[in-house]
Amino acid sequence: MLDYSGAILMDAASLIAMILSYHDIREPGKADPAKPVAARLWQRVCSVCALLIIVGVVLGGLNGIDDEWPFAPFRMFAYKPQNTGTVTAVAFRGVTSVGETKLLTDSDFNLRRAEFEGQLPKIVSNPRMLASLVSIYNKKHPGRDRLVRLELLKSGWNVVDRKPKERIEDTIALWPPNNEPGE
Amino acid sequence: MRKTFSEHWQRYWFAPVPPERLEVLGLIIYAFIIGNIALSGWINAHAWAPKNMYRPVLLGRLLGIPGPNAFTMIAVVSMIVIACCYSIWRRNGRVAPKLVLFGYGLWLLWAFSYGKVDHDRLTILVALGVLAFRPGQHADYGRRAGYASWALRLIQVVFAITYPLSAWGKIHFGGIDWANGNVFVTAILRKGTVFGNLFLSVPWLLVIAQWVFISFEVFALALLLPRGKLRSVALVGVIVLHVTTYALIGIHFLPHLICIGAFFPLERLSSRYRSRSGLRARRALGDGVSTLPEKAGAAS
Repeated sequence: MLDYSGAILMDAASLIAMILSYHDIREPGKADPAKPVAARLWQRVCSVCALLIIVGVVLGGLNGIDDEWPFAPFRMFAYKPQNTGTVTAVAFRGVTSVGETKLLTDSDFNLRRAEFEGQLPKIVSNPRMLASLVSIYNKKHPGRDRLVRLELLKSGWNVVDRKPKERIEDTIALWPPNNEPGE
Repeated sequence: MRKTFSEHWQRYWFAPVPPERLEVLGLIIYAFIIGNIALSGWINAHAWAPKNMYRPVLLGRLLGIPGPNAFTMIAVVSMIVIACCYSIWRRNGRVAPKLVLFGYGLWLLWAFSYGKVDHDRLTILVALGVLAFRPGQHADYGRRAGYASWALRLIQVVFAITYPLSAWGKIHFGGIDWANGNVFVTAILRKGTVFGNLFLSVPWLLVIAQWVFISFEVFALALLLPRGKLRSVALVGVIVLHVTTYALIGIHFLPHLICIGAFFPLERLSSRYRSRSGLRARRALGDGVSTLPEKAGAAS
Protein backbone atom coordinates (compact mmCIF):
# COMPACT_ATOMS: atom_id res chain seq x y z
CA MET A 1 0.00 0.00 0.00
CA LEU A 2 2.76 2.42 1.00
CA ASP A 3 4.63 1.54 -2.18
CA TYR A 4 2.21 3.44 -4.35
CA SER A 5 0.90 6.04 -1.97
CA GLY A 6 3.82 8.22 -3.17
CA ALA A 7 2.68 7.87 -6.77
CA ILE A 8 -0.89 8.66 -5.80
CA LEU A 9 0.28 11.78 -3.97
CA MET A 10 2.21 12.86 -7.07
CA ASP A 11 -0.90 12.41 -9.19
CA ALA A 12 -2.96 14.34 -6.67
CA ALA A 13 -0.33 17.09 -6.84
CA SER A 14 -0.51 17.13 -10.63
CA LEU A 15 -4.30 17.39 -10.41
CA ILE A 16 -3.96 20.43 -8.17
CA ALA A 17 -1.32 21.88 -10.51
CA MET A 18 -3.66 21.39 -13.47
CA ILE A 19 -6.50 23.12 -11.71
CA LEU A 20 -4.20 25.96 -10.64
CA SER A 21 -3.00 26.40 -14.23
CA TYR A 22 -6.59 26.58 -15.38
CA HIS A 23 -6.42 30.34 -16.02
CA ASP A 24 -3.78 29.80 -18.73
CA ILE A 25 -6.24 28.50 -21.24
CA ARG A 26 -8.50 31.50 -20.66
CA GLU A 27 -5.86 33.92 -21.87
CA PRO A 28 -6.96 35.68 -25.07
CA GLY A 29 -5.64 33.97 -28.15
CA LYS A 30 -4.72 30.74 -26.39
CA ALA A 31 -8.16 29.24 -25.96
CA ASP A 32 -9.33 26.84 -28.64
CA PRO A 33 -12.73 28.14 -29.75
CA ALA A 34 -13.83 24.60 -30.66
CA LYS A 35 -13.32 23.48 -27.05
CA PRO A 36 -15.12 25.49 -24.38
CA VAL A 37 -13.09 26.14 -21.22
CA ALA A 38 -15.45 24.07 -19.09
CA ALA A 39 -14.90 21.10 -21.40
CA ARG A 40 -11.15 21.27 -20.84
CA LEU A 41 -11.50 21.12 -17.05
CA TRP A 42 -13.60 17.96 -16.99
CA GLN A 43 -11.21 16.37 -19.44
CA ARG A 44 -8.33 17.12 -17.11
CA VAL A 45 -10.18 15.71 -14.13
CA CYS A 46 -11.01 12.58 -16.15
CA SER A 47 -7.38 12.27 -17.27
CA VAL A 48 -6.13 12.39 -13.69
CA CYS A 49 -8.76 9.88 -12.52
CA ALA A 50 -7.71 7.52 -15.32
CA LEU A 51 -4.05 7.91 -14.34
CA LEU A 52 -4.81 7.25 -10.67
CA ILE A 53 -6.76 4.10 -11.47
CA ILE A 54 -4.16 2.79 -13.93
CA VAL A 55 -1.27 3.53 -11.56
CA GLY A 56 -3.14 1.76 -8.74
CA VAL A 57 -3.88 -1.29 -10.89
CA VAL A 58 -0.31 -1.50 -12.22
CA LEU A 59 1.40 -1.06 -8.85
CA GLY A 60 -1.04 -3.47 -7.17
CA GLY A 61 -0.43 -5.96 -9.97
CA LEU A 62 3.35 -5.62 -9.83
CA ASN A 63 3.96 -5.69 -6.11
CA GLY A 64 0.68 -5.80 -4.21
CA ILE A 65 -0.93 -8.45 -2.04
CA ASP A 66 -4.49 -9.80 -1.98
CA ASP A 67 -5.25 -7.81 1.15
CA GLU A 68 -5.00 -4.58 -0.89
CA TRP A 69 -8.03 -5.43 -3.05
CA PRO A 70 -9.25 -3.87 -5.35
CA PHE A 71 -5.63 -3.05 -6.23
CA ALA A 72 -4.51 -6.63 -5.75
CA PRO A 73 -2.17 -8.78 -7.88
CA PHE A 74 -3.63 -10.97 -10.63
CA ARG A 75 -2.83 -14.43 -9.34
CA MET A 76 -4.48 -16.71 -11.87
CA PHE A 77 -2.38 -19.94 -11.79
CA ALA A 78 0.35 -17.93 -10.06
CA TYR A 79 2.09 -20.43 -7.83
CA LYS A 80 5.34 -22.33 -7.73
CA PRO A 81 5.28 -25.35 -10.00
CA GLN A 82 6.52 -28.68 -8.66
CA ASN A 83 7.00 -31.37 -11.26
CA THR A 84 7.25 -33.95 -8.49
CA GLY A 85 5.40 -33.56 -5.22
CA THR A 86 1.86 -33.48 -3.90
CA VAL A 87 -1.23 -31.71 -5.24
CA THR A 88 -3.91 -31.45 -2.58
CA ALA A 89 -7.18 -29.71 -1.83
CA VAL A 90 -9.15 -29.39 1.38
CA ALA A 91 -12.01 -31.88 1.87
CA PHE A 92 -14.48 -32.59 4.68
CA ARG A 93 -15.62 -35.84 6.24
CA GLY A 94 -18.36 -35.95 8.82
CA VAL A 95 -19.91 -38.53 11.10
CA THR A 96 -23.63 -38.25 11.84
CA SER A 97 -25.52 -39.10 15.05
CA VAL A 98 -26.43 -42.53 13.59
CA GLY A 99 -22.79 -43.31 12.90
CA GLU A 100 -22.89 -42.71 9.15
CA THR A 101 -19.67 -41.38 7.66
CA LYS A 102 -20.04 -39.07 4.69
CA LEU A 103 -18.01 -36.69 2.57
CA LEU A 104 -19.29 -33.12 2.76
CA THR A 105 -18.81 -30.17 0.43
CA ASP A 106 -17.69 -26.61 1.11
CA SER A 107 -21.18 -25.26 0.36
CA ASP A 108 -22.52 -27.30 3.30
CA PHE A 109 -20.79 -24.65 5.45
CA ASN A 110 -21.68 -21.59 3.30
CA LEU A 111 -18.03 -21.08 2.36
CA ARG A 112 -15.77 -21.92 -0.57
CA ARG A 113 -12.97 -24.49 -0.49
CA ALA A 114 -10.42 -21.79 -1.34
CA GLU A 115 -11.61 -19.77 1.65
CA PHE A 116 -10.82 -22.66 3.98
CA GLU A 117 -7.45 -23.04 2.27
CA GLY A 118 -6.79 -19.31 2.67
CA GLN A 119 -7.32 -19.58 6.45
CA LEU A 120 -5.90 -23.06 7.00
CA PRO A 121 -3.22 -22.18 9.60
CA LYS A 122 -5.87 -20.41 11.71
CA ILE A 123 -8.18 -23.46 11.61
CA VAL A 124 -5.46 -26.03 12.20
CA SER A 125 -4.11 -24.13 15.21
CA ASN A 126 -7.62 -23.77 16.61
CA PRO A 127 -9.70 -26.88 15.74
CA ARG A 128 -12.50 -25.47 17.90
CA MET A 129 -13.41 -23.45 14.76
CA LEU A 130 -14.70 -26.71 13.33
CA ALA A 131 -17.37 -26.68 16.05
CA SER A 132 -18.96 -23.63 14.42
CA LEU A 133 -18.88 -25.45 11.08
CA VAL A 134 -20.71 -28.40 12.65
CA SER A 135 -23.28 -26.00 14.03
CA ILE A 136 -23.71 -24.27 10.62
CA TYR A 137 -24.20 -27.67 8.95
CA ASN A 138 -26.84 -28.74 11.44
CA LYS A 139 -28.72 -25.45 11.05
CA LYS A 140 -28.56 -25.65 7.27
CA HIS A 141 -29.79 -29.25 7.08
CA PRO A 142 -32.44 -29.58 9.80
CA GLY A 143 -34.02 -32.60 8.11
CA ARG A 144 -30.84 -34.68 8.05
CA ASP A 145 -29.16 -36.67 10.83
CA ARG A 146 -27.15 -34.35 13.03
CA LEU A 147 -23.44 -34.05 12.41
CA VAL A 148 -21.46 -34.98 15.51
CA ARG A 149 -17.91 -35.17 14.21
CA LEU A 150 -16.04 -33.28 11.52
CA GLU A 151 -12.67 -34.02 9.99
CA LEU A 152 -10.77 -31.54 7.82
CA LEU A 153 -8.69 -33.41 5.25
CA LYS A 154 -6.02 -32.66 2.73
CA SER A 155 -6.82 -34.96 -0.11
CA GLY A 156 -5.15 -35.26 -3.50
CA TRP A 157 -2.43 -36.90 -5.52
CA ASN A 158 1.25 -37.72 -5.45
CA VAL A 159 2.63 -36.36 -8.70
CA VAL A 160 5.82 -37.73 -10.26
CA ASP A 161 7.29 -35.95 -13.25
CA ARG A 162 4.01 -34.08 -13.91
CA LYS A 163 1.92 -37.29 -13.83
CA PRO A 164 -0.50 -38.16 -11.01
CA LYS A 165 0.54 -41.53 -9.50
CA GLU A 166 -1.37 -42.32 -6.30
CA ARG A 167 -4.11 -40.79 -4.16
CA ILE A 168 -3.20 -39.38 -0.76
CA GLU A 169 -5.25 -38.22 2.22
CA ASP A 170 -4.25 -36.64 5.50
CA THR A 171 -6.36 -35.45 8.46
CA ILE A 172 -5.28 -31.94 9.43
CA ALA A 173 -7.96 -30.99 11.98
CA LEU A 174 -10.62 -32.88 13.88
CA TRP A 175 -13.59 -31.89 16.02
CA PRO A 176 -14.23 -32.95 18.69
CA PRO A 177 -10.72 -34.18 19.47
CA ASN A 178 -10.45 -37.98 19.83
CA ASN A 179 -10.87 -38.03 23.61
CA GLU A 180 -13.93 -35.74 23.76
CA PRO A 181 -17.57 -36.60 23.07
CA GLY A 182 -19.29 -35.11 20.01
CA GLU A 183 -21.92 -32.41 19.90
CA MET B 1 2.89 17.94 -38.99
CA ARG B 2 4.18 16.16 -35.91
CA LYS B 3 1.63 15.82 -33.17
CA THR B 4 2.43 16.74 -29.60
CA PHE B 5 1.95 14.33 -26.69
CA SER B 6 -1.09 16.26 -25.57
CA GLU B 7 -2.69 15.92 -29.02
CA HIS B 8 -2.09 12.16 -28.94
CA TRP B 9 -3.49 11.99 -25.43
CA GLN B 10 -6.52 14.00 -26.44
CA ARG B 11 -7.17 11.78 -29.42
CA TYR B 12 -6.63 8.52 -27.50
CA TRP B 13 -8.93 9.42 -24.64
CA PHE B 14 -11.40 12.01 -25.87
CA ALA B 15 -11.98 11.57 -29.63
CA PRO B 16 -15.79 11.57 -29.55
CA VAL B 17 -17.68 8.31 -29.87
CA PRO B 18 -21.49 8.01 -29.96
CA PRO B 19 -22.69 8.21 -26.34
CA GLU B 20 -25.09 5.36 -27.15
CA ARG B 21 -22.07 3.02 -27.16
CA LEU B 22 -21.53 3.60 -23.45
CA GLU B 23 -25.27 3.55 -22.86
CA VAL B 24 -25.68 0.10 -24.46
CA LEU B 25 -22.64 -1.22 -22.59
CA GLY B 26 -24.29 0.05 -19.40
CA LEU B 27 -27.48 -1.85 -20.18
CA ILE B 28 -25.49 -5.05 -20.78
CA ILE B 29 -23.49 -4.61 -17.57
CA TYR B 30 -26.50 -3.80 -15.37
CA ALA B 31 -28.39 -6.80 -16.77
CA PHE B 32 -25.31 -8.96 -16.22
CA ILE B 33 -25.02 -7.83 -12.62
CA ILE B 34 -28.59 -8.88 -11.87
CA GLY B 35 -27.80 -12.35 -13.24
CA ASN B 36 -24.42 -12.37 -11.50
CA ILE B 37 -26.01 -11.68 -8.14
CA ALA B 38 -28.72 -14.28 -8.68
CA LEU B 39 -26.17 -16.94 -9.66
CA SER B 40 -23.42 -16.10 -7.13
CA GLY B 41 -24.96 -18.07 -4.29
CA TRP B 42 -21.53 -18.49 -2.69
CA ILE B 43 -21.25 -14.75 -2.07
CA ASN B 44 -24.76 -14.38 -0.67
CA ALA B 45 -24.20 -17.49 1.49
CA HIS B 46 -21.52 -15.60 3.44
CA ALA B 47 -24.36 -14.06 5.45
CA TRP B 48 -24.85 -17.52 7.00
CA ALA B 49 -21.15 -18.49 7.20
CA PRO B 50 -19.32 -18.84 10.54
CA LYS B 51 -18.65 -15.34 11.89
CA ASN B 52 -15.15 -16.32 13.02
CA MET B 53 -14.15 -16.86 9.38
CA TYR B 54 -14.73 -13.17 8.48
CA ARG B 55 -11.33 -11.64 7.79
CA PRO B 56 -11.89 -8.26 6.09
CA VAL B 57 -9.44 -7.02 3.47
CA LEU B 58 -7.52 -3.80 4.16
CA LEU B 59 -10.24 -1.54 2.73
CA GLY B 60 -12.85 -3.23 4.93
CA ARG B 61 -10.65 -2.78 8.01
CA LEU B 62 -9.95 0.89 7.20
CA LEU B 63 -13.66 1.61 6.78
CA GLY B 64 -14.62 -0.59 9.74
CA ILE B 65 -17.08 -2.63 7.67
CA PRO B 66 -18.64 -5.46 9.68
CA GLY B 67 -19.30 -8.88 8.16
CA PRO B 68 -22.65 -9.51 6.50
CA ASN B 69 -25.66 -10.97 8.25
CA ALA B 70 -28.94 -12.13 6.75
CA PHE B 71 -30.54 -8.69 7.06
CA THR B 72 -27.65 -6.62 5.62
CA MET B 73 -26.99 -9.10 2.80
CA ILE B 74 -30.64 -9.15 1.70
CA ALA B 75 -30.79 -5.34 1.97
CA VAL B 76 -27.65 -4.79 -0.14
CA VAL B 77 -28.56 -7.39 -2.75
CA SER B 78 -32.09 -5.95 -3.07
CA MET B 79 -30.68 -2.45 -3.40
CA ILE B 80 -28.30 -3.53 -6.19
CA VAL B 81 -31.02 -5.36 -8.11
CA ILE B 82 -33.55 -2.52 -7.81
CA ALA B 83 -30.92 0.10 -8.75
CA CYS B 84 -29.84 -2.02 -11.76
CA CYS B 85 -33.46 -2.37 -12.91
CA TYR B 86 -33.97 1.37 -12.52
CA SER B 87 -30.74 2.11 -14.45
CA ILE B 88 -31.96 -0.09 -17.29
CA TRP B 89 -35.43 1.44 -17.28
CA ARG B 90 -34.43 5.11 -16.88
CA ARG B 91 -31.16 5.31 -18.76
CA ASN B 92 -30.30 8.80 -17.55
CA GLY B 93 -30.78 8.06 -13.84
CA ARG B 94 -28.20 9.85 -11.68
CA VAL B 95 -28.53 8.20 -8.26
CA ALA B 96 -29.27 4.58 -9.20
CA PRO B 97 -25.91 3.95 -10.99
CA LYS B 98 -24.07 5.30 -7.93
CA LEU B 99 -26.06 2.95 -5.69
CA VAL B 100 -25.09 0.04 -7.95
CA LEU B 101 -21.42 1.04 -7.70
CA PHE B 102 -21.58 1.34 -3.92
CA GLY B 103 -23.66 -1.82 -3.40
CA TYR B 104 -21.67 -4.01 -5.77
CA GLY B 105 -18.40 -2.75 -4.28
CA LEU B 106 -19.60 -3.62 -0.77
CA TRP B 107 -20.94 -6.99 -1.95
CA LEU B 108 -17.53 -7.81 -3.47
CA LEU B 109 -15.71 -6.59 -0.39
CA TRP B 110 -17.74 -9.06 1.67
CA ALA B 111 -17.12 -11.78 -0.93
CA PHE B 112 -13.36 -11.42 -0.67
CA SER B 113 -13.15 -11.07 3.11
CA TYR B 114 -13.21 -14.77 3.93
CA GLY B 115 -9.67 -15.73 2.93
CA LYS B 116 -9.87 -15.77 -0.87
CA VAL B 117 -9.70 -12.83 -3.29
CA ASP B 118 -10.83 -13.44 -6.88
CA HIS B 119 -9.17 -11.57 -9.70
CA ASP B 120 -11.94 -11.22 -12.23
CA ARG B 121 -13.94 -8.30 -10.83
CA LEU B 122 -11.72 -5.25 -11.21
CA THR B 123 -12.72 -4.34 -14.78
CA ILE B 124 -16.44 -4.50 -14.08
CA LEU B 125 -15.94 -2.38 -10.97
CA VAL B 126 -14.18 0.26 -13.10
CA ALA B 127 -17.01 0.00 -15.65
CA LEU B 128 -19.58 0.61 -12.92
CA GLY B 129 -17.48 3.56 -11.72
CA VAL B 130 -17.41 5.30 -15.10
CA LEU B 131 -21.11 4.55 -15.69
CA ALA B 132 -21.99 6.05 -12.31
CA PHE B 133 -20.58 9.45 -13.23
CA ARG B 134 -21.57 9.82 -16.88
CA PRO B 135 -23.16 13.15 -17.80
CA GLY B 136 -26.95 13.14 -18.07
CA GLN B 137 -29.00 13.65 -21.22
CA HIS B 138 -29.16 17.39 -20.51
CA ALA B 139 -25.38 17.76 -21.07
CA ASP B 140 -24.29 18.89 -24.52
CA TYR B 141 -23.54 16.24 -27.10
CA GLY B 142 -19.82 17.04 -27.30
CA ARG B 143 -19.37 16.40 -23.62
CA ARG B 144 -21.38 13.17 -23.64
CA ALA B 145 -19.45 11.93 -26.68
CA GLY B 146 -16.10 12.87 -25.09
CA TYR B 147 -17.02 11.27 -21.77
CA ALA B 148 -18.15 8.08 -23.51
CA SER B 149 -14.80 7.98 -25.29
CA TRP B 150 -12.86 8.38 -22.05
CA ALA B 151 -15.02 5.89 -20.15
CA LEU B 152 -14.79 3.19 -22.81
CA ARG B 153 -11.04 3.74 -23.17
CA LEU B 154 -10.52 3.39 -19.43
CA ILE B 155 -12.47 0.11 -19.39
CA GLN B 156 -10.39 -1.07 -22.36
CA VAL B 157 -7.09 -0.12 -20.72
CA VAL B 158 -7.92 -1.84 -17.41
CA PHE B 159 -9.23 -4.86 -19.32
CA ALA B 160 -5.99 -5.02 -21.34
CA ILE B 161 -3.41 -4.54 -18.60
CA THR B 162 -4.83 -7.33 -16.45
CA TYR B 163 -3.29 -9.84 -18.88
CA PRO B 164 0.38 -8.75 -18.81
CA LEU B 165 0.01 -8.14 -15.06
CA SER B 166 -1.32 -11.67 -14.75
CA ALA B 167 1.75 -12.93 -16.68
CA TRP B 168 3.91 -10.96 -14.26
CA GLY B 169 2.07 -12.52 -11.31
CA LYS B 170 2.98 -15.98 -12.59
CA ILE B 171 6.68 -15.08 -12.74
CA HIS B 172 6.56 -13.08 -9.51
CA PHE B 173 4.84 -15.76 -7.40
CA GLY B 174 5.72 -18.87 -9.40
CA GLY B 175 9.30 -18.12 -10.40
CA ILE B 176 11.04 -17.65 -13.73
CA ASP B 177 10.52 -21.35 -14.54
CA TRP B 178 6.72 -21.14 -14.22
CA ALA B 179 5.95 -22.20 -17.78
CA ASN B 180 8.02 -25.39 -17.52
CA GLY B 181 6.27 -26.60 -14.37
CA ASN B 182 3.14 -28.59 -13.66
CA VAL B 183 0.78 -25.71 -12.90
CA PHE B 184 -1.93 -26.79 -15.34
CA VAL B 185 -1.65 -30.39 -14.09
CA THR B 186 -2.25 -29.05 -10.57
CA ALA B 187 -5.18 -26.90 -11.69
CA ILE B 188 -6.82 -29.83 -13.51
CA LEU B 189 -6.26 -32.20 -10.58
CA ARG B 190 -7.90 -29.69 -8.24
CA LYS B 191 -10.73 -28.37 -10.42
CA GLY B 192 -10.58 -30.28 -13.69
CA THR B 193 -13.59 -30.86 -15.92
CA VAL B 194 -14.20 -34.10 -17.85
CA PHE B 195 -12.55 -32.43 -20.83
CA GLY B 196 -9.62 -31.21 -18.73
CA ASN B 197 -8.94 -34.65 -17.25
CA LEU B 198 -8.25 -35.99 -20.75
CA PHE B 199 -5.07 -33.91 -20.82
CA LEU B 200 -3.57 -35.37 -17.64
CA SER B 201 -2.02 -38.24 -19.58
CA VAL B 202 -0.17 -35.82 -21.92
CA PRO B 203 1.61 -33.44 -19.55
CA TRP B 204 3.99 -32.18 -22.26
CA LEU B 205 0.97 -30.72 -24.07
CA LEU B 206 0.08 -28.83 -20.93
CA VAL B 207 3.62 -27.42 -20.78
CA ILE B 208 3.17 -26.11 -24.33
CA ALA B 209 -0.21 -24.70 -23.26
CA GLN B 210 1.50 -22.90 -20.36
CA TRP B 211 3.96 -21.26 -22.77
CA VAL B 212 1.17 -20.25 -25.13
CA PHE B 213 -0.91 -18.95 -22.21
CA ILE B 214 1.76 -16.71 -20.71
CA SER B 215 2.99 -15.52 -24.14
CA PHE B 216 -0.53 -14.53 -25.11
CA GLU B 217 -0.99 -12.65 -21.85
CA VAL B 218 1.98 -10.47 -22.77
CA PHE B 219 0.77 -10.10 -26.36
CA ALA B 220 -2.62 -8.95 -25.05
CA LEU B 221 -0.99 -5.53 -24.55
CA ALA B 222 -2.04 -5.08 -28.20
CA LEU B 223 -5.51 -4.42 -26.81
CA LEU B 224 -4.19 -0.98 -25.85
CA LEU B 225 -3.91 -0.04 -29.53
CA PRO B 226 -6.75 2.20 -30.65
CA ARG B 227 -7.51 0.00 -33.68
CA GLY B 228 -5.94 -2.38 -36.18
CA LYS B 229 -5.43 -6.06 -36.93
CA LEU B 230 -3.18 -6.78 -33.95
CA ARG B 231 -5.93 -5.58 -31.64
CA SER B 232 -8.51 -7.74 -33.40
CA VAL B 233 -6.24 -10.79 -33.09
CA ALA B 234 -5.83 -10.06 -29.38
CA LEU B 235 -9.61 -9.77 -28.94
CA VAL B 236 -10.18 -13.15 -30.56
CA GLY B 237 -7.31 -14.57 -28.50
CA VAL B 238 -8.89 -13.33 -25.26
CA ILE B 239 -12.14 -15.11 -26.08
CA VAL B 240 -10.29 -18.33 -27.02
CA LEU B 241 -8.25 -18.14 -23.80
CA HIS B 242 -11.31 -17.82 -21.57
CA VAL B 243 -13.33 -20.48 -23.41
CA THR B 244 -10.38 -22.89 -23.12
CA THR B 245 -9.92 -22.15 -19.42
CA TYR B 246 -13.61 -22.77 -18.83
CA ALA B 247 -13.51 -26.05 -20.75
CA LEU B 248 -10.46 -27.30 -18.84
CA ILE B 249 -11.15 -26.24 -15.27
CA GLY B 250 -14.61 -24.65 -15.24
CA ILE B 251 -13.49 -21.10 -14.34
CA HIS B 252 -15.24 -18.56 -16.55
CA PHE B 253 -14.06 -15.00 -15.64
CA LEU B 254 -17.37 -13.67 -16.97
CA PRO B 255 -17.50 -10.48 -14.85
CA HIS B 256 -14.23 -9.47 -16.51
CA LEU B 257 -15.04 -10.85 -19.95
CA ILE B 258 -18.39 -9.05 -20.23
CA CYS B 259 -16.40 -5.79 -20.34
CA ILE B 260 -14.99 -6.82 -23.72
CA GLY B 261 -18.13 -5.05 -25.00
CA ALA B 262 -16.19 -1.79 -24.57
CA PHE B 263 -14.20 -2.73 -27.70
CA PHE B 264 -17.20 -3.03 -30.03
CA PRO B 265 -19.51 -0.52 -31.77
CA LEU B 266 -22.44 -1.37 -29.52
CA GLU B 267 -24.28 1.81 -30.52
CA ARG B 268 -25.57 -0.14 -33.54
CA LEU B 269 -27.87 -1.92 -31.10
CA SER B 270 -29.39 1.40 -30.04
CA SER B 271 -32.59 2.41 -31.84
CA ARG B 272 -31.98 6.03 -30.86
CA TYR B 273 -28.56 5.93 -32.55
CA ARG B 274 -29.94 4.20 -35.64
CA SER B 275 -32.69 6.75 -36.07
CA ARG B 276 -30.20 9.60 -35.53
CA SER B 277 -27.67 8.21 -38.01
CA GLY B 278 -30.51 7.55 -40.46
CA LEU B 279 -31.39 11.21 -40.14
CA ARG B 280 -27.78 12.17 -40.85
CA ALA B 281 -27.67 9.96 -43.91
CA ARG B 282 -30.87 11.51 -45.26
CA ARG B 283 -29.46 14.96 -44.58
CA ALA B 284 -26.29 14.08 -46.49
CA LEU B 285 -28.48 13.11 -49.43
CA GLY B 286 -29.97 16.59 -49.28
CA ASP B 287 -33.58 15.73 -48.58
CA GLY B 288 -34.11 18.87 -46.56
CA VAL B 289 -33.86 17.50 -43.05
CA SER B 290 -32.74 20.30 -40.73
CA THR B 291 -29.25 20.30 -39.19
CA LEU B 292 -28.99 18.66 -35.77
CA PRO B 293 -27.13 20.44 -32.96
CA GLU B 294 -25.05 17.33 -32.26
CA LYS B 295 -23.66 17.20 -35.76
CA ALA B 296 -20.19 18.37 -34.73
CA GLY B 297 -19.58 15.58 -32.24
CA ALA B 298 -21.13 12.66 -34.04
CA ALA B 299 -17.94 11.26 -35.53
CA SER B 300 -16.76 7.66 -35.24
